[in-house]
Amino acid sequence: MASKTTMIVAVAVVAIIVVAAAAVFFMGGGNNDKRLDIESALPVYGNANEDYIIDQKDIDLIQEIIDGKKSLSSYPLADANCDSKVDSADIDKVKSIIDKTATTVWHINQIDSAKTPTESKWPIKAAVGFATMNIAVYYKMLGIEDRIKAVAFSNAAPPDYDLIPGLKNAARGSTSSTSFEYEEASKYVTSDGVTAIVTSVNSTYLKNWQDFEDHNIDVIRIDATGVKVNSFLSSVLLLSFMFDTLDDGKAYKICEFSEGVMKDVTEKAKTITTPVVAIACNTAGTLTSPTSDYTLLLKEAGAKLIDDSRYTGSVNMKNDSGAWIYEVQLDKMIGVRVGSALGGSWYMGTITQEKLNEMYDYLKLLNCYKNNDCYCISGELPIPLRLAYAAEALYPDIYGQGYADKYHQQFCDMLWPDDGWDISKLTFIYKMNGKA
Amino acid sequence: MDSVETAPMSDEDNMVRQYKAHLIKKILFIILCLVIVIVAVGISLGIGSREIGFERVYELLFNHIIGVQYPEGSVDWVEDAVVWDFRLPRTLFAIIAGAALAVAGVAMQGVMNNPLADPYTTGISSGACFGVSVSIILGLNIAQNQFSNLGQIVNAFIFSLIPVALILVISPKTKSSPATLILAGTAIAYIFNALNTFMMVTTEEETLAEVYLWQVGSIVGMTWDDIPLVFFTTVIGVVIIGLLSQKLNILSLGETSAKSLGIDVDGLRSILLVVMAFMVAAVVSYAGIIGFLGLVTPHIVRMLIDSDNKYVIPASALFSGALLLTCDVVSRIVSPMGEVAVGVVISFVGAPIFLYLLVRKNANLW
Repeated sequence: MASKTTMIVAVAVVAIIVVAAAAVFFMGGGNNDKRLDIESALPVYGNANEDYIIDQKDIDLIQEIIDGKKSLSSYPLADANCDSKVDSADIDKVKSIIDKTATTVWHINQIDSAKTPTESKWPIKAAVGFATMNIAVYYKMLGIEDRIKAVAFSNAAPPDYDLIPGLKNAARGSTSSTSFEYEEASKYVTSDGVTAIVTSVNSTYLKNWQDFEDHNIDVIRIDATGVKVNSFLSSVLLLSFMFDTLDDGKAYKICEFSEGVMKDVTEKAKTITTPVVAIACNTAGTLTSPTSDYTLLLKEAGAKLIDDSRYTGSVNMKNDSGAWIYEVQLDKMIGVRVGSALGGSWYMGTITQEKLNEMYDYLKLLNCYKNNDCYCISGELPIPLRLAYAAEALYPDIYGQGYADKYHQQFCDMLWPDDGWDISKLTFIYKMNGKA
Repeated sequence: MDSVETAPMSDEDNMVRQYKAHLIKKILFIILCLVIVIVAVGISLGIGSREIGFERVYELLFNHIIGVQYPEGSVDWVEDAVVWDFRLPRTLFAIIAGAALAVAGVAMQGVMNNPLADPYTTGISSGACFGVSVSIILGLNIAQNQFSNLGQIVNAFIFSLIPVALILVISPKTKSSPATLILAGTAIAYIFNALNTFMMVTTEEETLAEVYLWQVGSIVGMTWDDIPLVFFTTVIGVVIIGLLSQKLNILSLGETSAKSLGIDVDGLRSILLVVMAFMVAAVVSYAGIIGFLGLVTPHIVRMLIDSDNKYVIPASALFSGALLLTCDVVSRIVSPMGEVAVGVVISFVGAPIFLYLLVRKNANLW
C-alpha cells in the first residue's frame, strides 16, 4: 500500500512539473529577454552579439572580449566607440545607450554597397528626410512621422497623406525626390532641434551628404528599396533605434511579422516546379533592367528573369529599340506604382481600372498582356508585403487569391489599429488590362 | 576793360578731349560694374532659405575672418555656416564663372573674327556633356570617388578638352581660316552631341533627368572645393588674354593685315584656344552649360564702351560676373528650392537687355 501511494504521489509530482514546465515554456517566462525570435541584426556598434537589441548581454560579451575569452574579430560590433579596440570605454558607451543617456553612437552607414562606420548623435528627437513612399512608409511603420520636420519629394510623387496624415505637418524642404540643400535644412536645426536627415542608401539620394555631416546634421541611410528582407529589417531596427522607439515594440513586431511572411513565401516557393518568366515595368514606357530593385523583387518572389543576351538594361517599349522583347518568352509582368503616379490613392481605394488600362496600354502587343497576365501592385507597401503581392501575382495557384491581403490586414491591425484599415474593401493588386 | 577772349579750340584739342572723355567713360563703366558686383555679393549672401540681413552678413564674414567661434548648433553657428560655407562659394563661383565665360567669349570672337562665336564654338560644351553622360549613364569615370561627384567633374573637364585638341591638330594641317575652324568645331560638336543623344535615349528616366539638369547649367551646391580650379584657370586665363589684348585688336583688322603687322596669327590663335579651353572647361565641368554670357555680354560691353579689347576684357569680366550673380539672386528669389536654374534666368534677363541695347543704339553688332 505504501508503494502504491508513493507511486501516485510521484506521478502527480511529475505531472505537475511537466505541466508547470510547459506553462513556463509556452508563456515565455524562461528567458525574460527573449521576446521574439528575430534573426535580423541591429547595425549599431555596441550590439556586440549582433542581435536586435543593445542590452546587458552585449556588456557581458564585451567583458569577455576584454578578458581575452573571445576576440574582437569575431564580434566587430563590440567596439562600441569604434576606436579599433575593446575596453571599458566600450562598456561605458553601451551603458549610456541602455540608460538612455544622450550620446553619440556608431552605426553602419551604407551608400550603395559600401558600408562604413559613422558616428551620429543619439537619440534623434527631430529630423528632416525624404518622403518618397519607399522611405515615408518607414516613418509610418515606426510612428515617427511627427518628428520629421521637413520633407523632400517631387511634385510627381508626393507622399500619400491619406496613409500618412502626420506628414502633412512637415514643411516642404525640397521639390526634388533625391536632393535636399543644407541651407534649407538648417532652418529646422534652429527652429525644431533637427539633428539628422533620413535618406536612402542609394547614392543618387543626397549627393551633398558631406555638407550635412560637416555641419552637424547626421545622415541616416536606410535601404528603402532593397528587396533582401534582412536588409529591410536592419533598416527598420536602425531607424527605430536612432529615434529611440525600440521600446514601443513596433520595430520588433515588424521584424517578426516580416520574417514570418518571408519564410512562408519561401516555403511555398519550394513547390514551384516551373518558374514563370517575368519582368517588371513602369508607366513611363519601359521595362526595368535586370538589376533594378523591381526586377530583383520578382526574383525573390520566385520568378525567372529573361534569359536573353539583349536584356542588358531597361527596355524602351515606345520605340523599336524594345521590339526584341516580343520575341522572347514572357509569362508575366509586374508593375509597382505609388498611387500618386496612378492619379489616386491605394489606401483610399481611388485607383481606377480605367486609369491603369490607359497607363499600361503601351504593353498591349505583349503576349502576357493579351493573356491578362500583367499586374500592378501598390508602391506604398513595405517590402515584405510587396513581396507577398508579387508572389501571389506570379503564382496564384500556389499562393491563392487573397494571400497577400491576409498578411496586409494583419500588418495594418498590428501597427495601425486606430486607422481601421479594412483591406478586404480595398484592392492592392490590379490587372493592367482588367475590366473597368 | 576788354574781356579776355579764349582762342577757339583746335580740332586736335577737341579730339584729345573727346578721347579722354571716352576713356573716362570706359573706366567709369568698369568701376560701375565693380560696384554692382560688390553690392550683389552682399545681397547674394543674404538671400536664400534663411533670410540674413545685409549688415549681419558682413558681420558674420568679418567675425569668421578674425576667427570668432560660436557654440555648435546655435543660430550664430548655423548662420555662419550658411554664409561662409554655402553662399559665399556660390557667390564667388558666379563671379568667377561669369568672368571666365565672358572673357573667353571676347577672345573667341576676336580669334575667329566672328560675332557669333562663343566659348562653346569649339565644341567644349558638347565634349563636357558627353563626359558627364558617360559618368552618369554608364558609370565610367576617369577619376573615381564613390561618395562625391568628382568623377563627373573630371570626366567633364577632360572630355571638354578633346574637341579643342582635335581642332588644334587639324588646324596646322589644313591652314584653316577662322570660318573653317568654326565649322570643324561644329562638326566635332555634332559628333559628341550624337553620342550623347544616343546614350540619353537609351537610359532610364531618372538618369535622363539628371543629365538634362546638368546641361541646363546651375551653380547650386557649389562649395569651397569647387573654387580653386575655376579661380586659377580664370585668373591665369584673363591675365594672358589681357596681355594679348593689343594683338587681338590688331587681329580684328583681318588676318592678312595682322600678319603684315607682324602678328603670328596661327600661334596666337592656338595659344588663345588652349587658354580659353581650360577656362571654359573648368566652369562647365562644375556648373554645366551656362549659355548667353560668352556670346552676348561682350557685345553688350562693346555697345557701351567700344571695341578696344584692353578695356572690353576687364569690363566684360566684371559685367558678366555681375550679371551671372544677379541672375543667381533672381533665381533664388523666384524659386527658393532651386527649381529654376540660373541658366534659364540668364536668358530671360539678358536677352531683353541685349535687344533693348540693339534697338536703342541702332548699332551694328560687329
